Amino acid sequence: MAIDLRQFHGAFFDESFEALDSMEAALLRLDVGRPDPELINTIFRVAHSIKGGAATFGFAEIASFTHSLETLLDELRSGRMAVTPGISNLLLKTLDVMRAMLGAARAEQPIDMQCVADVQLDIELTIVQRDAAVTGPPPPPVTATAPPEEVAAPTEWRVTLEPGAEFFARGTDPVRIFRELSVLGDLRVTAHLDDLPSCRDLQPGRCYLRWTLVLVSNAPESAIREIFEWVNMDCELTVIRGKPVPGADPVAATGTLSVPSTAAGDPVPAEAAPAASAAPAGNAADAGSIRVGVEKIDELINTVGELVITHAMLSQMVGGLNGPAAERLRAGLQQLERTMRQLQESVMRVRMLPISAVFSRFPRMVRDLAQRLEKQVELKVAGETTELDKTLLEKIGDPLMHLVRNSIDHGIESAAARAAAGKPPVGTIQLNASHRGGNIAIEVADDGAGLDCPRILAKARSAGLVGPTQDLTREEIEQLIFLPGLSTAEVTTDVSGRGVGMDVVRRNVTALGGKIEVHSSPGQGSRFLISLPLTLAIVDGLCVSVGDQTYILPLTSTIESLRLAPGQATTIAEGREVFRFRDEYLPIVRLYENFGLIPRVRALHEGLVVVVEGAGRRVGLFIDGLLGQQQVVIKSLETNYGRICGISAATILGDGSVALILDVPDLIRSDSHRQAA
Amino acid sequence: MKPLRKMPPRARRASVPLPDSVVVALPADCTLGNIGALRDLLCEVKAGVPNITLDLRRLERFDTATLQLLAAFTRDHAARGANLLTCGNRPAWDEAAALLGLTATLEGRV
Repeated sequence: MAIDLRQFHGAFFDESFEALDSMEAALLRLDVGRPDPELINTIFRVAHSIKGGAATFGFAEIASFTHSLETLLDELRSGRMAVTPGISNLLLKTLDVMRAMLGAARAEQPIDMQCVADVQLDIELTIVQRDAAVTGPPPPPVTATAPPEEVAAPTEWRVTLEPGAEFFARGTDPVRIFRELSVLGDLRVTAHLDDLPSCRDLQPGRCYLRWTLVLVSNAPESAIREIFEWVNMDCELTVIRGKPVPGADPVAATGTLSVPSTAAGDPVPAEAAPAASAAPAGNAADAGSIRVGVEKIDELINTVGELVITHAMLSQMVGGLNGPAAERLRAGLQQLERTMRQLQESVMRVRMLPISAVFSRFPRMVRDLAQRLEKQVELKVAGETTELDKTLLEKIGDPLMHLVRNSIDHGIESAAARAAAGKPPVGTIQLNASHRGGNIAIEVADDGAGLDCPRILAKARSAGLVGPTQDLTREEIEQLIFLPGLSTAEVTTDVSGRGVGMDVVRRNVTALGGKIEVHSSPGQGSRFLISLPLTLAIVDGLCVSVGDQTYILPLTSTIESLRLAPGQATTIAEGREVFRFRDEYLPIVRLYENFGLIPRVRALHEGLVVVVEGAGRRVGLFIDGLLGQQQVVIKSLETNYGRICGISAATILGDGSVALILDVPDLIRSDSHRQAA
Repeated sequence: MKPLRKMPPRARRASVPLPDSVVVALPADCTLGNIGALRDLLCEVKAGVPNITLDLRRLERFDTATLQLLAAFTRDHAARGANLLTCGNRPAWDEAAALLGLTATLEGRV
């Protein structure tokens, strides 16, 4: 029965993209001239695995392109070619093409074959010109040098490989497989030519050969099978454990092929098979983890949320009961609450991923951009293991990218300017992440020129954002960079300077329930601090009442609540109400008018005003009263119903009633639009 | 000058003595995409040639499919008593042949 391989495509793409990330990281660490052999091995394994997967799943163009890359890497790995700056750039370009090809294949879009052909030609030309590329004696062939922690007695493994007729046509080359196998130990190969026809009758591209391989190695069977992982479906493979071989050097047995061996018995590194396989779960299980769809985790979180709501309902019901049975019930509910909180935290942790998934994009970006702008920049990263919610992780990438790009473009000076200022020629950008209380703090800092406050103020004045005589402190001027339409760049480039950047960065961070601050010193550099909640699944909020409805006001948007004295509010043009809050006048937004409700109170001094901040502005929200503060489980309204202006989501309260969670930036924006209209 | 008389192919072949040795120069790219052309080139070598030399000096790229084809070629001719040689110092060729267990076949020893 034929297997429908499409079911594995998702896993193949996911794992291939992850593998490309690790390949990129390895490429960026590759020292030109003195490359770390293990890094080249890592890159080779990634290419090999993706090629195998692509061939297995029928992505012939990807398999063919990766085959060319693999050939180049093989030259580097064997020491026949040296790693030059040109080759390093070409490998990064190749990686971009592979990403684009995989992206197109995943989206079922056509691949840009012109671009692929150009880079493939570059690879082939580089290989052809290898003699010119090699300078000095070739480095020794790549071998892993780390000795194994535990060395088992070498065993004689007998492997038989009977490839299918289409073996070669699928992009599989046994010589590479055998070379990889020879790294595990002493390998003897016997080819069987019984089915090989005469040269004249041979069909080009069809595989007629069979092989018997005897490997003396202390590698486990899984390591041997892993090498054949991608060809399993195209061949008959048997791996039979033979007898232990006394007297064989367990660590570095050199085979009859004189192929240098890696430390035998070392498990094959994880990078050896980073891409998808026909049995992805099995592989992942070997690594102590399993790949689970996000929707399954979200379902679990949702169920835990329901449990929290049910618990709140039961607690509310038991509140009105008396007697010994009620006491026992209350004690049981307290125990249930403790266990439930543990469960909730555990489930939330499942959705948490290390921020390295985002940080790993930056070394490449910094390298390319610095090269383009002819600046010298070093990126220092700390706290990559800090975990945050998957959704946050996906959405924080772009704002961070913008900040880092701005730091290189506007912050870090040219080497000459830095030297003139008495600074080292290489500028530094620091990217740090850490847990602070219940939040994640991400810092993007540079040692560049710092914000040019006089220029920012002049721009803001000419744009009418600041009055001509209005005096601002340095901190206040720094905050101006988050205003829409403000750019101090003299020339608008594709890097930055369109004046939409920092405004969008702040809007995106705020949309995630976070905050962004900037601190800068002239000539010393700038520091952007982003604070994000740990998760988007739960929010701390104020429960407020308006008429017969309860709304949740996220605490991150709330500044203060106050009761206005009679006459404290002033009506200005067109019935607009404002009140004085600290040193500014804030407009009052009557929430019941927004949602068409009948309020319990209409006079401002009888209700409450909550000062909220969003979309770069502050307003006072007029409500009937405050009910309390609590954590609520977010239920998507857009998924289950549709988008509503001013509402971000819904939640279920302890009494089983539904409360809507207010979208403060949206409320403020729609209020502005109404006033403008 | 008198024009050459056109002879039937069979008769012409019979009248041309076999060369003592043939050098087969492998092109730079001997990979799967070009294997059909390589087979045609090899098929031009007539059976019974006593010395066949595979010239690897221009060879840049090859794969197992090529080595399989050459293994068929060398085995065919070795069976007819041909002496097979290679020229061009190609460690990569030797390494690949050894890894595939084809060294003896490619040298015409089996």
